[in-house]
Amino acid sequence: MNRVQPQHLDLSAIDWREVARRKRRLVSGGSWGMWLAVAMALLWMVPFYYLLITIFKSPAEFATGPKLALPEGLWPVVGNVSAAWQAARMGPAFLNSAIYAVTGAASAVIIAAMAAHGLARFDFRGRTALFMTIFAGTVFPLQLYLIPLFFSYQSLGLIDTRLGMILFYTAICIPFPVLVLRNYMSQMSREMDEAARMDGCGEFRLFFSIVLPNASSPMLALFLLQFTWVWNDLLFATVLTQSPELRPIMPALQVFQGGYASQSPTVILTASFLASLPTVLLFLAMRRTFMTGLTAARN
Amino acid sequence: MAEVRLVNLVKAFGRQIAIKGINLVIEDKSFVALVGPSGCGKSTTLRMIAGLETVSWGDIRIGGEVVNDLPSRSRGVAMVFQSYALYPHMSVRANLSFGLRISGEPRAEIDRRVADAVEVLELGPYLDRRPSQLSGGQRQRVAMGRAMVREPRVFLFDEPLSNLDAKLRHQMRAEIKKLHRRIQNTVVYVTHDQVEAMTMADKIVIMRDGRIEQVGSPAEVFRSPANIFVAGFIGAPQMNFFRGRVGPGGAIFVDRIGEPVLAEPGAFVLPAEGEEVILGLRPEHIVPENHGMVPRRSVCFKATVTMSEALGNETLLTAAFGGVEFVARMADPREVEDGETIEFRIDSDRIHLFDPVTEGTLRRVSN
Repeated sequence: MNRVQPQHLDLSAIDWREVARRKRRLVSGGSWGMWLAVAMALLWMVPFYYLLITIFKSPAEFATGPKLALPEGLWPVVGNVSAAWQAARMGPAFLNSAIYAVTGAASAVIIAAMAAHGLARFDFRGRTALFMTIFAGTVFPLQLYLIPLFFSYQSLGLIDTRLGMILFYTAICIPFPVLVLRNYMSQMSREMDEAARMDGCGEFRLFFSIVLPNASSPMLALFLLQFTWVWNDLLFATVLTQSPELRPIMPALQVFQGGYASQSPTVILTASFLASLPTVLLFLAMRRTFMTGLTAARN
Repeated sequence: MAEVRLVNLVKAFGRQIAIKGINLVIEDKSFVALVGPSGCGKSTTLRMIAGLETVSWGDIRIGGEVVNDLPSRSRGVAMVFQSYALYPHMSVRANLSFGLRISGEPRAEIDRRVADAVEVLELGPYLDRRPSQLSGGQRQRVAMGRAMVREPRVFLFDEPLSNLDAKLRHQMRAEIKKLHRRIQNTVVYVTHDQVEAMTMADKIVIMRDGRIEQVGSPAEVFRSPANIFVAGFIGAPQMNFFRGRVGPGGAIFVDRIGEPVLAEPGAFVLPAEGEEVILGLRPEHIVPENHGMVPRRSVCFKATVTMSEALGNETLLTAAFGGVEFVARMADPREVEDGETIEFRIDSDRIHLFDPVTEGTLRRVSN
């Protein structure tokens, strides 16, 4: 039999421009699609552009000049912020929002993690029924709870109290994280739990020392999602609180609305911008964790 | 002393009985392998010893003490899992010391035990790494270290090498064996790989369908399998089985093999003349003519090769005669064409005979 020697390709003969062309041919969907996507993206950004330029305009400049033109200077923003801050009493409103969003979202995610661990790991009768009951909380429109909740709160004396608000936000934020974390925890290695038990862990230590640290990424992503939801809630906050000292930021913005409201759109937009700033900053600060958490929860 | 004794052990999952009353004594300091096909109950047995499954019936005794109702941590056992089950958020050092920390051992004692394990398993360079930064073999060693630091009376291994590639598996086999020699603990090792069981264990327990089929040293279960199942399970490629009939003077007649096979005198308790028996022959005991040692007492027959698998140092020939297929080992191999007719020799001193009804061996029990 003839001995066959392997033939080696001279790697210096590779035309790298052709390699790139082949890759482009395979991955690009045509330039029309690309331009369409760019146009859509620009269109999407118009309201944000409008918001960003308006907060730098004085009420007079806004009233007289073209609406989409760039501002003449940057200083009017100071006046707008000051007017918005005072009119909406944004200081206490921000504090209230922070208390409700941090406490509500954090407690909800921790309680949901405990529930998810139980639902994923303990075999007990009615486990699926219990899960479906919790899951039902994410299925119905939230507005459905409004009237029964109002009357129950009224009879319990929880209307217009911080405790009432925290309890409501915690409860409303539990079902979705339970759904996500149960799936995530079901996929965590059971052998890891068993190894921890053999190492001497009881159930609580197992949960806090082993399960929680390994579920921190999806938990953080869920915290961010729920924080944003609580922060942006207008409906329940409007119904369940009345006094300005307890109102969070979103209902506080309502001072700019109605027949007697007389603030310039520059102040209103500045107030809206300020109100949404914390969630945007939080997302930017934690975007890496948020994305890994979402991927972890999906896998 | 840490003898492990299983007494009438039963495990039921609902109405399904996974372990059907097994009795086994695992001597102190011995290395015992539980082997068997998937679903035979070997892992369930190990998990019951570990305390990860409840005992439905019967007793588990470790060092003479019934441990049925003791939690895992109080049994003096440590386990190495198939997936290693390391804690991903902890460094190697924290993984090793976790169990000792939560049991409240003094700091100096923890450091001493961790240092010992690190030295034996050569984990020094990896102490500050996370499990995700380690290779499969390194993770395996950390898992063993985590079990070692607890200084258990009994080591339990649940298919620890099945996630490793062939070369690493070979290396780790030797390391586990060395580790056992060094620390002299009782080891219960579960595997579906009979090569692992044969090469590592002092005693092999072959299981099927929740029952023990045979217990013995590797040589015993290989040379004297108790039944057709064990004979087929231990040894690769597996033993060949032919239907035969007992003839005059203890000769075994197999269809289409002209000469009778004469079993070693007195070695078997044969049924009456004319009764059927199953003749078992390992591939190395069917010798192709001119390839391998000519057996002292042999029977010749011809068969047609249907497939040949060249392994380099030898070739496995699948051949057939009269509709019966078998596998033979060809030592010092040459190229063989499919369809070629070759003469084979059966080594009459190496045959196994089984009862076709009970499937048990007909070999005489030697005292």
